[in-house]
Amino acid sequence: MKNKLTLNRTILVLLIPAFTTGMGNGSVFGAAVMCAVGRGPYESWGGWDGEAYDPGTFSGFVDIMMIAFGIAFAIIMGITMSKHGEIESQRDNVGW
Amino acid sequence: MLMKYLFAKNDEIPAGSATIFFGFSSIFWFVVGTGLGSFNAAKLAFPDWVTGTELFAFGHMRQVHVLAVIVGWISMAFGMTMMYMTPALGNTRLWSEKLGLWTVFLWNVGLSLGLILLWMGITSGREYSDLIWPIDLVVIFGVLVPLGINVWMTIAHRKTQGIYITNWFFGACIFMVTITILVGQSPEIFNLTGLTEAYLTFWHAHNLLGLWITPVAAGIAYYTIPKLTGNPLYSHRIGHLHFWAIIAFYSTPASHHLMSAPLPEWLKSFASVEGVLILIPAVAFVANILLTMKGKWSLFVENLETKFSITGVLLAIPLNMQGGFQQTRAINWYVHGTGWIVAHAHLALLGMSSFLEAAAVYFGLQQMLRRKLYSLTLGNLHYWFFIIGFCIYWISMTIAGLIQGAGKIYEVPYIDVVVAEHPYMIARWVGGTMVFTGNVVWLYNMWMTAREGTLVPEGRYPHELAYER
Amino acid sequence: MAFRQHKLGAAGVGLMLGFSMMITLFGPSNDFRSGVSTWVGLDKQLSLGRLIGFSYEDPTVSGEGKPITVILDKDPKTGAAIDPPVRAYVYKAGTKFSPGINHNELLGPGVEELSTGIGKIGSASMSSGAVFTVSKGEFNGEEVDYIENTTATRGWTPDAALRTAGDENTRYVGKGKTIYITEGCWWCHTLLPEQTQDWQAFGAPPFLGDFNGEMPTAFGSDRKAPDILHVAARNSSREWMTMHFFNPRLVQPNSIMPRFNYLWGRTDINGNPIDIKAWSKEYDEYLAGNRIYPPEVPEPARDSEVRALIDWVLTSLK
Repeated sequence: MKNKLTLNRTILVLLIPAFTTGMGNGSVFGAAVMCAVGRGPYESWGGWDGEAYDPGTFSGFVDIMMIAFGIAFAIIMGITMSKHGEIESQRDNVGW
Repeated sequence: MLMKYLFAKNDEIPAGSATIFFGFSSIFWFVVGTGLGSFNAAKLAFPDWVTGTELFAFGHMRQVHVLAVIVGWISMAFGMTMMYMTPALGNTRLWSEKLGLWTVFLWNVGLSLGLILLWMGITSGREYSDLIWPIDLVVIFGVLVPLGINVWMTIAHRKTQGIYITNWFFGACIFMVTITILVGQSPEIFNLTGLTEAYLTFWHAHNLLGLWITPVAAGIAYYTIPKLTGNPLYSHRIGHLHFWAIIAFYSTPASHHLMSAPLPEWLKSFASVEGVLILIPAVAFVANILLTMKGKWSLFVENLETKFSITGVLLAIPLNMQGGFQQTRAINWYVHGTGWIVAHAHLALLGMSSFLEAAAVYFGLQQMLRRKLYSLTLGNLHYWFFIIGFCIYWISMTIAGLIQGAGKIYEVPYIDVVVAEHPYMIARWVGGTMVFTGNVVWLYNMWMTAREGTLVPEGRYPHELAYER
Repeated sequence: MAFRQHKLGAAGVGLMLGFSMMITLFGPSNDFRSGVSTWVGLDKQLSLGRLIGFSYEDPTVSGEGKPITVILDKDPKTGAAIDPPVRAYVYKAGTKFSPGINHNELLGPGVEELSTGIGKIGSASMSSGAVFTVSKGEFNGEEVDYIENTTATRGWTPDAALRTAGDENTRYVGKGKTIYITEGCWWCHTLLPEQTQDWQAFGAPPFLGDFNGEMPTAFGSDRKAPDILHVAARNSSREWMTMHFFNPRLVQPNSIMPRFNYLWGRTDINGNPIDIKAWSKEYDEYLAGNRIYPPEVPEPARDSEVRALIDWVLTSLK
């Protein structure tokens, strides 16, 4: 049997849950880190416009951390799924 | 049709009638609820859009959106799944098809009445218990108790020896949510006041989610995933760990919603610790379901219902990660009352829960109508509108919430936070509208399924058949 | 055997839920009961009445059957000047009393003894109405605020109190909070500053005794707008409030608050009809740069809902 879980087939449907999963966890860790580190000067609160994505600012750091976690989770899940498909294809799983 | 069956003899009502009426009602309320949500979001992004009348004022519609989705869509989808899963798992018929039809009838009437009153501003002014107490009595004695009797009697009359984990969840959760609403309404009925009222409001709000929406949705996944994949559940023991841990840990952390109110400190600390322990049932659930998929992961790509179900289970991971930690004092300080919480609430209700229920409604309606889904393309369209719209909503509101939290910590003048949030409010509206559009497609697809779907032969499952169209 | 499983299960579920309710419901009830009403708590419950929201006396939630708050600068009975002016809560005949009058234990230890003793709240009667004030007394060497039934202690009658105060010193606080609830203001504004940096921006968080007898508390949970527990301490301008409620963008261009212009009713204070459509058209012209000034905001009628709402904001949220 051939691998039914290649990246081509799974990428679309994986991308979104993987991203939200990663971003959810990233936001929790990010918020925890920022609570532990504390705030800096007023200019670096990171609210307006592009500042919200500048890792040097308070909320920008968490946003970037979320996105980094999201990408990491997407990569992890993509690899896991294709490996999983490989293992499944090596044995006869029909009617498991 | 409904009217005809309400006064028919129980034996003359075809099996599955209650499921079908519940199913279509739930989809209808989903369309209504998400439509209102999209309209509300538009008002937050563009406050001068429709003005001059209280009918379309944000404050009159916000709670209608919330309750239409919770009591209309989610709870009716629960009712629908209970109507077909409970007998199927007990290898028997539903105890009373007629009682089921009466339940769905009273539910629709009571909810419509309650929502119209709410829209007019006739409210009790308590979050999640906004419905005035006479309507709440209808909800308890006209809806939950009959539903419970039906489910409990079906379980008692089962023809199998054990009780499957899904039925444990169904039976226990109906009982617990009835108690929760009864206790939660007591401030209105007995005029309890002050902090007692404030605490009971959030005790009710928390337990409504913790003892009804999350566990019943999980119970549904325990049925759909093994059914759709053909794999047996990975472990009943882990399932029971999940079930008992939910009752032990999820029924206690209510006061973490009021961390900044002058409640007793011991209560807040207790709630915070219990809140982290919610991770035990959460991990048990996610692990159990994902391990059940063993050898059948390709169905996640190929089968529509599995796609919905597994997406819901995967969204439970960030949901519980946030839920477990955001109520600890440190993180709560940052995110309390911000858009993050709105995002989290939608992750629970629109993300995890709704995806699991949508899968069960898709599967159950095809099963009970004995017809295959009208169009897979429209089904996939629904999935993609739903998930992309949800992601836009969730991500934009999380970022808006983090900005709002930073603004709180930095003491930024509030109006600057409003300015900073504006782009995310527009994104929220776009996302919500996509979900709404997807649901309109779903309603059409299901309606056409009932009328023109390919008939499923006896002894086969709809998802086993190829499309003829 | 098959039967035993769900019986044992049902008992287990009931037992565990009962245990959790013991901890989370019965446990804190002792702490709540020990709350001694503060001045804020007494002021709130006396000005709001029995309850806000759906009730027998106010089934349409429009603010009927609520007490009226008045500011008295002279004694309604003798006419002697009172300095500083005193805040009195007028319960006309038939208005339901606030919870603490009938259920004295809600007031908390100390307040209860003084109110029933020297405050004589026990002799207040719903059928003939009463006027209450909050007075300062001493209990066990500590200063506490207590409720005084001035109808019994000083002979103030509801009618005399209302007449003495006149319209300019009358505040429809109970009706105003009802509008706050029914218009859903609390979906965006909270009444609960957090015990953090909020201190500086929004003022002090409330105390344990600030809520005795209040229903609903309507803390709010989703903050899309500033906390307003102490808003009148930051801004006490009636003109600003009037403009802000009619169209928030008149005073705060970036606000996302809805326009509450429909709370004005049909006519303004002089009986002239209010045409919201025409107003909006003129306002749009102003936005387009075709007018120098925005159109005038109509002055609210005396019995309009917005007047009550502003009364509540400026009187209670300090």
